[in-house]
Amino acid sequence: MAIFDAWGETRSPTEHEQLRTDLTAHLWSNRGELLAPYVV
Amino acid sequence: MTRPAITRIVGPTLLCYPVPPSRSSRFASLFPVQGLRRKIRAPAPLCLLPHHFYDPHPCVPFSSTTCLRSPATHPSAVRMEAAETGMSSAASFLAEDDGAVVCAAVRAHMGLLLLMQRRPRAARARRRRPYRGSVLGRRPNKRRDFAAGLFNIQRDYFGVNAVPPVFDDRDYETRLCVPRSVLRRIYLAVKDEPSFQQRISATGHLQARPLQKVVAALRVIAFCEAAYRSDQYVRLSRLTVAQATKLLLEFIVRRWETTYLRRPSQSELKKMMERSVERCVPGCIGSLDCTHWEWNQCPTGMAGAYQSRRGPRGVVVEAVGDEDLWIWHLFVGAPGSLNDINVLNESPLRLDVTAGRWPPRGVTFTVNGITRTQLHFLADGIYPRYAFIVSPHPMPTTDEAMTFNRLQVAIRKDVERLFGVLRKRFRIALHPGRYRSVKQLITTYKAVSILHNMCVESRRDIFLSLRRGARGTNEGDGGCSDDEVLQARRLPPGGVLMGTTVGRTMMALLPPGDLRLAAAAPPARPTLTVLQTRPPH
Repeated sequence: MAIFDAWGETRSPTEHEQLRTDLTAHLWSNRGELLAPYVV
Repeated sequence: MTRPAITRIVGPTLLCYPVPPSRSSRFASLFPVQGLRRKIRAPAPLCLLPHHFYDPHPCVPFSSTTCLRSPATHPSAVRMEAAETGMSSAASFLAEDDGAVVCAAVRAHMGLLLLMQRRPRAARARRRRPYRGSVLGRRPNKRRDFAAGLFNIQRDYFGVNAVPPVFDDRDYETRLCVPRSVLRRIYLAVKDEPSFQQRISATGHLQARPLQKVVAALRVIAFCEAAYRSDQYVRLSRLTVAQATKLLLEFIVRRWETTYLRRPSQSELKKMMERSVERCVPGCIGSLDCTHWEWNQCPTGMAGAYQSRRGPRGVVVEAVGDEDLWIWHLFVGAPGSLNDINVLNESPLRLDVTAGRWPPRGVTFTVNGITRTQLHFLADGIYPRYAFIVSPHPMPTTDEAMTFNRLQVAIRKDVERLFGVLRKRFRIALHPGRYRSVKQLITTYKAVSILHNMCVESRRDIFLSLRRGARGTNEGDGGCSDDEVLQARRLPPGGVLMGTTVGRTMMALLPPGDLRLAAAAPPARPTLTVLQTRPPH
């Protein structure tokens, strides 16, 4: 059963889109801290 | 006792012969005349039987001595019955047979076929020139002077008679493409192998030392040079160098594959999570991509499968690398006609991930306030939309999406850089493979990847980005200052390290007019460069 769960979960396009959206929002919210060493 | 004319008994011969010699005990009662079976000639196959075999009237009629059948199955009765039904004599034999006759006939036929095959095989074996190795007087042996080859290596790289070596560590790695520690490790592991030990030829002379073979093989791997090119330096024949190269590649794979081409452990995954958080991509455990390796001697029969869309034939290499250029996953050997999606479908990485075997779900990360357990790889847009693959936005329109795409592309370049460094260091992976089998191609690329990982392990701090290198070593203990890194890089002290590959990316992340950039422009090449100098705090 765990195999079927993993099969469905890892191949989910919805999860793919959701993860990319969350990463985009995470990067945008933390861009100031990320770029601080490179700003004079 | 008068023996029957065995040679003329055709019908009973086949009836009496079905017994194979090894099983004669089971049918001993069927042969009342001792020695009968020994004198019966081997039956000819049905298709080659003489014409009188098909004669419905045999020369010698069946007697009570040779007829072993019951009256109901007497061949004469069978033949009469067959004549009534219109069957031929051979068909009548087969019809009245219980399987033993057919078995004997097939056995005899196969024996004849094997005999016919054996004759040309034996003729070929007689024509073949026997291999006798080095024989005195057979051909004048070249006076290669193995000791001179060994002296050259020792003088250049190790020093002789308290004289320092000609080449230092930097030249060492340039010429042999592996650091001194890696070469020493390979040499100590391989020197006791039977094929690398020093031997004595049939002429009584000492042969080459293991160090000569290792150095010659590494020169072939590093520069992809022909086997006879090393003869001038290490004094080995072409055959010896080619054999040593092949054996060394196989030895490396056999010995270190489980050590250097493995999945990350739990502690390593934890460090990767920390790094990915620093790079603003939590949960990322590497970049995934494919490349082609051309196959020079691809057989014509396999050209259809191994020919890529650009023309040359080759195999596809799928790899996962991190920012230290460590290879975490390698899949070699897929036909060159496959694209990245098809290679991924055959890859053990996808099979393990979709089956839930790897990566472990115990490692968690938080993105945008949501805690997840499925770690992911960065890949380009051709890959399918799986949950363990993060690809860029296909059509970015907002600043957020464009910023994310820039970061994703920049970090994803780790694996492209990995392929570049691997090919630059080991030219055997750059030039088309000169092997006849896919298996040898796979072995070669695996061995090269293992050597690459060994080099990364020995010089890992050099591969670090300066942003992290200025903070500390790879272990995260903060033991390396800016000046030390600058000194290692032969740069003037007193500067603050900025502008690595990641740093260049970070500057490119800035939307125009959003934040003020550093004064200097991004470097043209993703090298370690001091962009700004300011007094230390």
